[in-house]
Formats: sequence, C-alpha cells, structure tokens
Amino acid sequence: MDFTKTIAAGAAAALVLGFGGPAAADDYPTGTINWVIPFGAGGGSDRLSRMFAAEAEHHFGGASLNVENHPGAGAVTGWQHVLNQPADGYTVFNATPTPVISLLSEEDAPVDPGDIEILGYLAAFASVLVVREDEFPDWDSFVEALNERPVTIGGTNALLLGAANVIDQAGAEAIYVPYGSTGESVTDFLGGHIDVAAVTESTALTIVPENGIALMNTSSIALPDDVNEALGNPPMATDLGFSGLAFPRWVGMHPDTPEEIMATFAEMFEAAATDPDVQAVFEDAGEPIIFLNREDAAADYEAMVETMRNALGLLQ
Amino acid sequence: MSNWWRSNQAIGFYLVLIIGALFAYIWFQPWTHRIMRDGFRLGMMPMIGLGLMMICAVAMLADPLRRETPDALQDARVSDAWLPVVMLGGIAVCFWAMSWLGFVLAAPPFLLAFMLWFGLRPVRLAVILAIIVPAVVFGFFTLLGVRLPRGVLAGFF
Amino acid sequence: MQIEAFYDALALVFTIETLFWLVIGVFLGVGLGAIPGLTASTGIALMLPLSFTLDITGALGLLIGLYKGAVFGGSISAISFATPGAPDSAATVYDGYKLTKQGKGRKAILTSLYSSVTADTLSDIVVILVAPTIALLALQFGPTERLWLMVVAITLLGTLSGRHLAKGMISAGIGLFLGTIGADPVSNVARNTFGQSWLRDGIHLVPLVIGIFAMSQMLDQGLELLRKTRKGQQVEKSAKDLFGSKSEGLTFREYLSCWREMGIGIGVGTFVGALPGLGATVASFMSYGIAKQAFPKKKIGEGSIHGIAAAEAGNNATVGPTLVPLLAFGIPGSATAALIGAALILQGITPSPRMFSLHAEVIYALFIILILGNLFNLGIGRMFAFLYARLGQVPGEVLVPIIMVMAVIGAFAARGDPADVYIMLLLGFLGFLMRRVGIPEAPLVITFLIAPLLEENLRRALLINRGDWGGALFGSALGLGLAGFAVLVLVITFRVNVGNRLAQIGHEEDKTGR
Repeated sequence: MDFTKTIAAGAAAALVLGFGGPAAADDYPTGTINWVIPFGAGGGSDRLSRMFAAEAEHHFGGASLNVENHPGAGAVTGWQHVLNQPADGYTVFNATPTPVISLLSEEDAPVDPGDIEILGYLAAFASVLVVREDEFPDWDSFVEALNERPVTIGGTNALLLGAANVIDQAGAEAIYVPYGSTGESVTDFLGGHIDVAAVTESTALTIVPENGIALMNTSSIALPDDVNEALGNPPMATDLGFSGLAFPRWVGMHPDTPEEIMATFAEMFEAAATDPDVQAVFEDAGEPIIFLNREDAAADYEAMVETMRNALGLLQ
Repeated sequence: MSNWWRSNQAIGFYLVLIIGALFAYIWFQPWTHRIMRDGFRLGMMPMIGLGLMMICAVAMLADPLRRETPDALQDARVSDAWLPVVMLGGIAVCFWAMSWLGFVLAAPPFLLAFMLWFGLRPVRLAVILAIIVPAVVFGFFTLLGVRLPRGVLAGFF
Repeated sequence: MQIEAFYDALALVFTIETLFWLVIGVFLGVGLGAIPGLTASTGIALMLPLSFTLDITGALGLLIGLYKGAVFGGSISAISFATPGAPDSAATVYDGYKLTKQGKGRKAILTSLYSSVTADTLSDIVVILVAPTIALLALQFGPTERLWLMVVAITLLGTLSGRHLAKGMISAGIGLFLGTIGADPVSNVARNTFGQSWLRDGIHLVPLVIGIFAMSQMLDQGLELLRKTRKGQQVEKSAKDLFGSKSEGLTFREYLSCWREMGIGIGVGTFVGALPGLGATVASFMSYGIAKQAFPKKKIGEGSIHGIAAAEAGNNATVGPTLVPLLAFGIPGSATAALIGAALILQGITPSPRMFSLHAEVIYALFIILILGNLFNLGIGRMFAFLYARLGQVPGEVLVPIIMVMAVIGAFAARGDPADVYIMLLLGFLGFLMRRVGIPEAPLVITFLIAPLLEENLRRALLINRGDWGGALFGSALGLGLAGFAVLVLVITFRVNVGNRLAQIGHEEDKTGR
C-alpha cells in the first residue's frame, strides 16, 4: 500500500479546493508554499522550521508558509512525498543529513540522494570533538595517541561520520561507539567511560571549558565567530588540510521544477535567511542561522554525499 | 480428545509451525548473515528472539499444563477470528478515508455503523452521537494545537 | 543556599501570571495525558511556541505543570478504558481496569492520583536536596552498568508472566523480535524489516502500546457486544447512566497501606529518571515488577490498588529527576527534558553547571514550581478523576467505537506517520490473539523496551573493551554488584515460584486424599 500517495492525493485535493489550483510560473508564488520536513512534531527540525515559517513568511512574496511533517523510514518518507508532488515550486523540502545517511546505508534505496535541487542552507552544524585536556592537549598528540592505543569516540551515528572522516584522512584509526542520543554519549564522556565525545557545537558549549576542551571542528563550514571563541577557537578540518564534513539544514525542491521558479525561490530564501530580524530570533533560540546560497550549498551538498558514502563504510 | 485443538499443547504446536516458518524466512535472507564491524551478525538478535519463542513453544508441547485449555478458548467459535478482522478492516478504511475526506467527514459514518452494529438503539441516539462526538473531538484537538487530517474541508476552516 | 536568590524566586513564582500558567499547564497535561497517543513530550512540544511568549517562570510553570499532569493523566484512561494514555501507564492497566470492572474505578483513579502526587513530591524533594549527588552517581553508570540494570529489569519478567511461564516467555520473545525491527544500533543498517523501507525506523512504542493494550481490548469487547446482541439480550445500560453513579472512593487507611509500593516506586523512579535514555515506562514496569515480586500476598495484577500505587509512583517519580542531568551538566536525559531545556534557552538561559551561579533565582523558581505543580495536580487531577470515573459508565456500544477512533488518531498524532496506524491495527490483532490463547502482554512490552537497550549497551561495552567479554561484563565493581542483584532476583523468583507450585500440588493432593 502506498500511504504517501493517498496522503498526497488528499493534500492535492485540499490545495485545489482551498486555493483554486497552483499558479503559473510567472506569478509564483501565490497561496501556500508547503514546507515539508521529514521529522515529527516536537523535534529540533520541527521547532526551527516553524520558527522560520513564522518569522520569515513575509519574504515569500505574499505566499504563506505551511510546515508539514512527513516522518518515517529514516526520514526518507518526506523525501518521497516531495518527489510525488507536482514540480511547481509549492513544495519545499527542508531536511538534515539524516535522510541522506538512511539512503546511503540502504542497498536498494527508493530515492537517490541526488534526486533534489539544493537551493540553500539554513544552518550547518558541526561535529566537534571534545576531549579531556590532560589526555589530549592538541590534535597532534591526539593523532599520536590514536596510533599507539585504541581510543574510543562516542556520539550519534551522524556525528561519528564527521569524526571518522577526518581521522581516516589523518591515516589513523579509532573505535567508534554509536549512541542513540547525545545525552547518553555526553554522560558517558563525563563519566570517563569513553575518551572522546563527538557533539554539535551547541552541546560542546555546555561541556567546554569546565569538563573538557574542543579538540577540533570537523566541519567544512566555519562556525559563527562568537561560538568559535567560546569553544576556545578549535582548529577546523580545513585548517589542517583535510576535507571537512558539515551537517546542514538544507532546503531543496523537486529537481523537475522550472528554473525560473527555483531562481525566484532561492532569492526569496536568501532575503529571508539574511534578514537581521530573522537572524536575531534564531540567535536567541541558540541555533544561529548559517546561510549558504544556492551555488555554495549545492557544491557543499554534493561533496557531503561523497564524503558520507566513504565515511559510512568505516562505521558499518 | 475432540477438543485437543483448543489445548495448550495444540497452541504450542501451531506456534512451532509459525515460528519455524519465520525462522526459515529470516535464515535465508541475505542480510541475516552479514557481519558488522563489531563482529555481530545482523540477524543475531532477531534469531535470539525466535529461538526463545521456539524453546517455549516446544516446552508447551510437553509441560504439565499441556492438557489445559485457556479460558478464553473454552467456547471460542470460528467467528471469533474473522469478526475482529472485519472490525480492524473497518477501522483501516475509516483511517484511509480520513486522509482524503478529513476527520470530521470520515469518522461519523464509521461511528454510526459500529454503534449500530454493536447494538446501540434507538437509531436516533446513534446518529446524534456519531455527529457530535467527532465534532467535539476535532474541536478539542484543534484547540490543543494538534492538526487532525482536514481533507476536502481544508479550504473552509 | 543563597537566601536572596530564594526570595527573588518566591517573588517570581507567586505572581498571578505564573500561577495561572501553572494551572493551565496541569489542566492541559491531565487532559492530554488521558488521550491515548498524546504523551507528555508531545504536549510540551505543542505548547513550546506558546511558552516563548511568556516570561521565564510562566513558561516553566506551563511546561512543568503539563509534564506532571500528563504523566498522571495517562493512568486515567488506563484505568477507565484499559487504554493507557501513554506507554508509561501501561503497567497500570492490569489492576486498574480490573478494579473498574468491579465498579471500583474511582478508587483506582484516586489511588493512582495520590500515589502519583506523593511519589512526585518526594522525588522532587530528593532532587532539590541531592541533585548533584544523584548526577554524580548517574555518571558512574556507563554501558556496563546500564547493561546490568537492563538485566535486572529482564529478570523481573518471570513475575509478570503469570501462571504459565512458557507463555510468558513466548510473549517476551515476540517483544524481543519486534524490538529488533529497524536499524542495527551499531552499523545503522536496516535489519528484520521484511524488505519494507517504511519499517526502517522500527516500531514506535506508542502505536505498539495502543495496539497491544487498547485495540486488542476493544476487539474483545466489541466481540462480546456482538454476542450479547445475537443472544437477543436487551441492552441493559442506556446513556442516562452517564450521570448517575455512586462509586466507592479511597480511604486514608487504604492509601497508607500502599506505602511500601510507593516507596519502591520513588526509589526506582528517582534513579531511573536520572539516568539518560530510560524514562518513565521502564520505571513504572520495574517498580510494578519489584512490588509484585516482593509482596506476593497482595495479589498485584488481580485488581489490587497496590499494583496501581507501584506503577504510578514509579512513573511520576521520574518527573523531577529527569531534569537532574539537564541542571547538573546541561545534558537533557530525555525528550521532555530537552524540550524544557529548549524553553530555557529561548528565555536566554543556557542549561549548564554555570546555571547555579549565574541564574540561581531561576533554579530556585524551578524547584518551587516542581513542588507547587504537585499541589495543583492533586486538585485538578481529582476533578478529572471524577469526570472520567463517570465516563467509564458510558455503555460499551458507544464507548468501544469511540475508543477505536481515538486509538487511530492517537497512533497517528504521536508522530504523524500513517504507517504507525496500520502497525497499530496489526498489533491490535496480535494482542487479541495473544489474549485468546492466554499469552500475557506485559513481558512483550518489557522486552520490546529493554532488549534493544540491553543490546545497545552490551555492544557499546564490547566496543569500548575491544571485544573482551570479561571486561565488558565485569569490568567495574558497580557492574558486579548489579550482576549479583540480578542473580538474587532470579533466585528469589525461582524459589517463590517453586514454593507456590509445591503449595498448589500439596493442596490438590489434599483434595484427592479426602
């Protein structure tokens, strides 16, 4: 049974009845833009998407933004939903690397990670390696230790990918201990059960400086200056000559959408994400906007998929 | 022994067959024997679960309670199996209808049909309840901020 | 203690606005909690946007009130309709619904309310007094120790299996099997999904509990109603019964007689709550299992208020302690704690160890709200208890179809994934079949919850110890202690069971000898 299709049919019917049919490309956008996220209500993505919809709606040419949750199947259900909608620019997909990781670890995946046109990044969180200073004062001593003894690195699956990516490039090996949630991995780090915690920058801020130092930012995208400073300016993967891995909150559309519409949307999205008022709200929520425009985001996304494909092999 | 098929021993026998079939299915799946980086097989935990069930099912063939018949099976009839399936089918259809008709339109026919089926009389009462309850539930959920499927009525509210 | 900060906190909390939002929070919480599928974390997520617009104490009042109310509220529908409002009240169904059938629904709900509030209050006090100590103890719990804690929980299965051990263990096997559907915890590769990509996320706890407990029960009752009609019997009850019942309440003596069960609930709940990743469901089942094990004479599981007290004290005692890792380290230990943390961040306060010195007044305000919330829960909970005890009198012909619809939207609303509804219906049928052949449901839920945690922690411990089983299992003194405790529980279970059997056989021989 294809649940997504029945839902899609319902949503399409709703659209037709409610708003008199999708508009043509030249008067895009009118009516409602459906902002699809592949996660349930109540999670971090849901919270940020709703915040964005509320704060930035006025940048979208009079159209309203309607956040839709389509969770399931490792966040792939939402993706399939987007591909089943008409490619008219009225369905936007706002996701994280989660569905990409699901697709890459599936043998016969229903969707290809390339089946999307990336139109920008709203944020990009980093996998920061947090260690105890007396054990590993800096990156070089860390790599040295990796070669001498087994070092355990804990974190959620996605964040471990960031760690595995740089450690593999440094020609070293570590033991990656996967956790279901950041809460558990950090507790085990604080309790001394694991040597390193791979965490996002916002979690790192709660550990540094009292209980550890930020050894390295494994991302390809720089953190905001104030965050970086609070973490003690850890080196970035790119500073050390590695290719980094960022975890973006990316925004994309059906790849068959007319170019005109995608260009219009990318412009509106840029205006919204760079609006100082919108940025201030996200800043206050502890999730600052890190915007990447269409071109940069598309390039980073492509590199991310390849990097993840390699790094996933290390974790399976 | 005419009632053997209701006894614990018979249940154990059915379970052995079902679990055996499931075990064979899992065993011949390509993923089952894939070895992960920590040395565990992907199919290990599911097979432990099946193995545990199998041991218990075999135990039921021989344990001291084998001749006993579970209370709920004493006067069980064939309709005991298919009536629940009909009920579940009705609920599934109702949910399926919800996704395009919306909650407010899909729930009343279901409620009416089931209330009458279960024997609620007078019919008038059933009709009134079938209309009022979904409206109240919908209103309450909307007030709480939970969006139930609105379906074709989406344009109106 | 910083007295000045404490006075500031009092001034912050005792304002009309804060108290108003606390009342609204508890009210919504009890109401939401009683609806199947809407759990505390869903409720808090729904109210988060509203909380942004409030000041800090108003927001905390709303969210914490909602949390407390929802954890209690789940028991109301568990008792009245055998439909747990949330997974953490599934253990309450056994005794609660049996009491309702005996016409003692009010007594059951009041037991649940008083034990919830008692356990919640006492665990809050424990949190306030020794939060840093609990947090430090929780830190000692690495994968090895958590692994053994899970083993202790598993050894309680024997007591929840009922008379026929083989059937109980089959139920446990089904739970273990269902729990493995989804992604492998170490490699994140899909397993046991029968080639269905929508099963990749595994089976969610909410549709499982609704299916196994609520839907199966409704199928049973629906069948009973149909039989009644066939036999041509008159429908005895009519809708006017809705507002005319005199039901037995709870005496103070009965409440006091539950002190041991509440004590177990407080102990288990406080500790399990403070550990990240376990939560209220594990706490209530463990507390219920231990109480059943410890007091076989109280007939827990056969309609005893003591069973309700143990289960409900267990789940509500996790409410305060869930916040311990958040306050002590800034690490949320559960989804609910993460949402409360998000609310704090939005108010400009980042939860971290520094919070105690930077925002002492907020910490104290939080503590006062924790305690105060229980008082409101008591009052508002009583009101709801009254209402629901009467709702329980609605005739089955009306109630069963309505609960079926509520089960559907509950399974759907928890995540918004339509697949969850179909999974719920399938599990409802499985639960119905299990009920028919006398296989108990409790072991299934326990292993479904615990086995994946056990597997995760075992494999983590093995990874950390580089595949050395000895180190992974017995690498710490605390782990050894817990292992010893697990063995002790097993031995006691075995001895009690054998003792009962012997007594039974002796009894039967007596009869035949006569």
